[in-house]
Amino acid sequence: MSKANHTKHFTKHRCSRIYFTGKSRFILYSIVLMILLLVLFILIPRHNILHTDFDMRMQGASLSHIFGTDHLGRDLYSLMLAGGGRTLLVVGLSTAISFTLGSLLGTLGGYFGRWLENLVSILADFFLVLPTFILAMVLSSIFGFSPFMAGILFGIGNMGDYINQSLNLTKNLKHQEFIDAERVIGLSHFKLIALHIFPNICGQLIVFMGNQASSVVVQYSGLAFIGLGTDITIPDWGSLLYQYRSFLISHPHLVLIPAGAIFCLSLFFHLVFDRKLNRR
Amino acid sequence: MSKIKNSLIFTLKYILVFLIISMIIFAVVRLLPTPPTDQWLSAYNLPRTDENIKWVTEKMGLNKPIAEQYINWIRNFFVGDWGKSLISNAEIFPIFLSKMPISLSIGFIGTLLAGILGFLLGYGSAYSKYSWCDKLSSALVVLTQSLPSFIVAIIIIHFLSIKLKLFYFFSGSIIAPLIISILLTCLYTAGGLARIVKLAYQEEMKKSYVRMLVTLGFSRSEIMRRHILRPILIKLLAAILSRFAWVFGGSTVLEFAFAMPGISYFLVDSMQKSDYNVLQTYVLVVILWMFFIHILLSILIKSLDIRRLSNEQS
Amino acid sequence: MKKKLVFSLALLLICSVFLTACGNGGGDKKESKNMLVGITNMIDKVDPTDGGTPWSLTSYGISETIYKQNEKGELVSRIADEIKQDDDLTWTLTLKKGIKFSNGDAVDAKAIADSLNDVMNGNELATASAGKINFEPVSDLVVKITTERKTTTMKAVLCEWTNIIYKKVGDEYIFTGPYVPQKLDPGSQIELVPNKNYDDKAEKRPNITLKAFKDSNAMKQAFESGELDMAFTVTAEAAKELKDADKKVKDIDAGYQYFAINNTEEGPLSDLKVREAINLTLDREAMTKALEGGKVATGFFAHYYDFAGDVKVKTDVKKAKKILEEAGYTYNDKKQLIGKDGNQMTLTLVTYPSRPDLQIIMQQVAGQLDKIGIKAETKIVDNIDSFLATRAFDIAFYAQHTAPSGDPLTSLNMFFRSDQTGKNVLYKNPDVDKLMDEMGNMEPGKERNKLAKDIQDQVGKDLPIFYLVDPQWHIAVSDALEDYEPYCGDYYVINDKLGL
Repeated sequence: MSKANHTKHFTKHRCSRIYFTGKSRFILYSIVLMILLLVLFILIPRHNILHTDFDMRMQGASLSHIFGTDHLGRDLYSLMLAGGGRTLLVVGLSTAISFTLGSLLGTLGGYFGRWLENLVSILADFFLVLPTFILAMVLSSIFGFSPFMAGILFGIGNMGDYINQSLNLTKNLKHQEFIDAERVIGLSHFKLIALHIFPNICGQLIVFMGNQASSVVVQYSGLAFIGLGTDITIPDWGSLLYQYRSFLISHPHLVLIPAGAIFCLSLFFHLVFDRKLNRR
Repeated sequence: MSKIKNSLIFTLKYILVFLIISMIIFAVVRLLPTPPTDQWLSAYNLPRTDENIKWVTEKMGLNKPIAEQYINWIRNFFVGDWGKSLISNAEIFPIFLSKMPISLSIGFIGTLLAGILGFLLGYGSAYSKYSWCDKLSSALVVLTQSLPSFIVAIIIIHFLSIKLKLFYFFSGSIIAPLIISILLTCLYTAGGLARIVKLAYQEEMKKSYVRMLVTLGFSRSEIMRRHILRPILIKLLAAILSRFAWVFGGSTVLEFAFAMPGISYFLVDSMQKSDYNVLQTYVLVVILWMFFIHILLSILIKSLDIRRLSNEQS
Repeated sequence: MKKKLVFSLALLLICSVFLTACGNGGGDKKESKNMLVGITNMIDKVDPTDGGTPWSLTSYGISETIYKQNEKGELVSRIADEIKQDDDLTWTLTLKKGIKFSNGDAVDAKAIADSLNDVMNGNELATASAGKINFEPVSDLVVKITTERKTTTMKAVLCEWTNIIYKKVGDEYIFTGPYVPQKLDPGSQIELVPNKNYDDKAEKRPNITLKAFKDSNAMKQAFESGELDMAFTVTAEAAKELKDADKKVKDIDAGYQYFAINNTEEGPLSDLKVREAINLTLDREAMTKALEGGKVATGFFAHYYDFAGDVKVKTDVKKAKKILEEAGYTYNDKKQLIGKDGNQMTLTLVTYPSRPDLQIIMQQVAGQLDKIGIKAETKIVDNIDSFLATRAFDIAFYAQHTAPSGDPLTSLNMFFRSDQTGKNVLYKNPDVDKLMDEMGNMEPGKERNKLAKDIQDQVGKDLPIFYLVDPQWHIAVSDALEDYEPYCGDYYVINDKLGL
């Protein structure tokens, strides 16, 4: 091998080894965790969440009820599993909507400037100012309340922040030299935004998203106070927190377990997305 | 000249937002499946015959053409005649006047405090990586995202009131629950703001003029406190603006948990009774509120900007 | 510069807090005889002519109807001496001497007539079974009452919640109840002082503040911290917890009834056999256990009324399955019941958020239906009455005070008359209509009560509704109110015996 090639080859492997240690280790751990969870999932006994059993209320952890039971005798573990899917749906849907629509609008507005920027800015203010709770009540009385609905609701309600962020970031970036250079070369607007602007502002937006993502769950549980999402037969982690709030002192496990799950979710988002920026 | 033009554009922007939102809320409440006429009849256990519905509709003034209702409403709003609740006939304006200060102060004061705390924590995090400030603000963010404020409120009530009998939150003066609510609002907002401040500092520190200041011999803390403070404050103020809108929902939960006579009880009741008048008025008040906050913050931002410009010139 | 900014901001904040707090909190309470009572709702305005306010005014002890119920459900009066029916459409009401409004004005024939005529006029749509009623003062203490349609139960009519006695003095309204409203914070709380002109025991009554708690847990915590003298009401779980902690919790008969309205027009429940089977599957004992009190419902009225029903149902899942099989329904190998469309039978259960007990019942029923292979989907809606009109449900869980005026016929008419549009109970039985007509012509008494029981029996066979629970509500009281017993559900939360 020639010296130049040798250096290139060596460097490439060196970098990939370092690369392997950092991010991929995290992925490795996650995969192991997933497999463990899957095993547990199959082994741990589950119950029908509809079945109430008043002789078995408020039990602590036991072999047949690994997380104990609640005030109606329902198995907490099964409730958590049933609720997990819904919780993830709300978080995923709302984050996806806010992020996608928000950054799209903001980027376009910041890039093209002038009247489009003003329009987008007004839209951002509009979404910020819209009181989420009122929107929630109105939408739910028209369409009925469901986690899907809540996902859309929070997606729209939280969009304002994303629009503003991406707007400002795009504006700042626009004035940098390399953008002007690209324009001179003749790159179309679309390619410019997609290939150069967006990837550069993506990082900060993702960090922001990571910070915000799981706050939706807590917002969602707050809705129960105004009477939304109180159907006790359709649980999710947030509404479980609301239902069990009066048992916080007497039977703390009922609150700690859903809170713990949300904590893990939040931590997960935080670590995954915050890291991205810090490593740059 | 351009300042006047900018303020004009700003005001026009908000008037536009105001009108559009008012039209939207006006239309949307009328989409609610149970009109206030039905609610009224339900309350009296009366059958929903055509005759009855017609009578109640007239009584509530809902039979007039939509445009006329809308114009009357908007016109009266600015004169201070906010109409009466469709269900209870109580005057809306005095009710709002007596209740909004509580809700607003939880949001306003709480968020301002959060701004201060967030700034201090963010400063500390940016000053030295992985310092206790950094860990604390991260912990705050993660914690407040997993534990809703009402859980924390319940814990506080239990220990301070029931166990230790230090405060009485439900009887007597409203100061105790008000202060706790403000502190909780502050806690729940400060973490996010701290992260924003930290990021803003980190971004700013990468800029070339800061590197220049370093080579000139200024210390890190001096740079952070004097030279680049203003752009950071501007970013912080912009972030606070968006938080102000959020606090309307946040204060609802706290008002319920502490049984405080804020606007939320009234609002939720009106929502459940499809009381158009109250709901429409509330949304307008929120917009007005945001408008004033926006003006306030813009003034602050502009004043910081001017100082920076004049500083750099001198 | 930064330090000054921070300092001035902090100062500004502290000032704002105090300004807000002083504007609202103010004053030191905790005088010797001031009681704080927690309830779940508060009126916006002391106005007897609008909305459901009259019910609340009576409930708070501010207003009275001429006749009211006592603990046994009998109609008694503090204001009237006697009432006589002259002919089909006229009555004579004689008042007691010396009854006064809260400001000292006499409650005489003219005042009564003015007040009730006002109610009748303002509420043009009054469906009092007697139609529009006219009151005419004949002498100082005698009122002539003329009805549009014949009625035999004028006492009950005069007990209906809309018919409270009031008088307008300037801009304000005055009433005759044991308490007088002093200060109203709309939607939040009301301060009451004893009515000096009520009777000679006014001195012994305390001042009362009624405070609304929208969050049931907040009310529980307020009670635990010793701030509430009475928590009306606490949930079943909270009641259990408080009882375990040796606090005083009373279980009172609610007067309300919990029942399930069936969609007999469309869907699987249009088949009587399905309804019978479900009726046998419902485990009502489990419901009373879950609610920490109450009785299995034996009819449409609370057990302490003379006209309460005697319908008995025993849970028997085997028999239920047999009925289904005989009616042609089959089970597949997954033990699911197959409906008429070839799929597993799925029922939509619905209820509303303002009665948490109903949600517990709904959850239990969902589990119980599972036992006979029926799948249940649950739903919560805000306005149950208009939702029922859409027929998009199979079973709706409902709560209603079925005898607020002490007369069974009003509710029976409202729910079970054929082709009535008020309450969305889909029931058509001309025999039952005839029984109700007969009742309308009879004087209150044993015979009339027997007819009421017969109607409840028939409803128990035809099953347009399922009788569920005759509930008890839980009230937490402090030592000061240890002996106090509110009755008739939430109709008389504050009555004249409080504090005595």
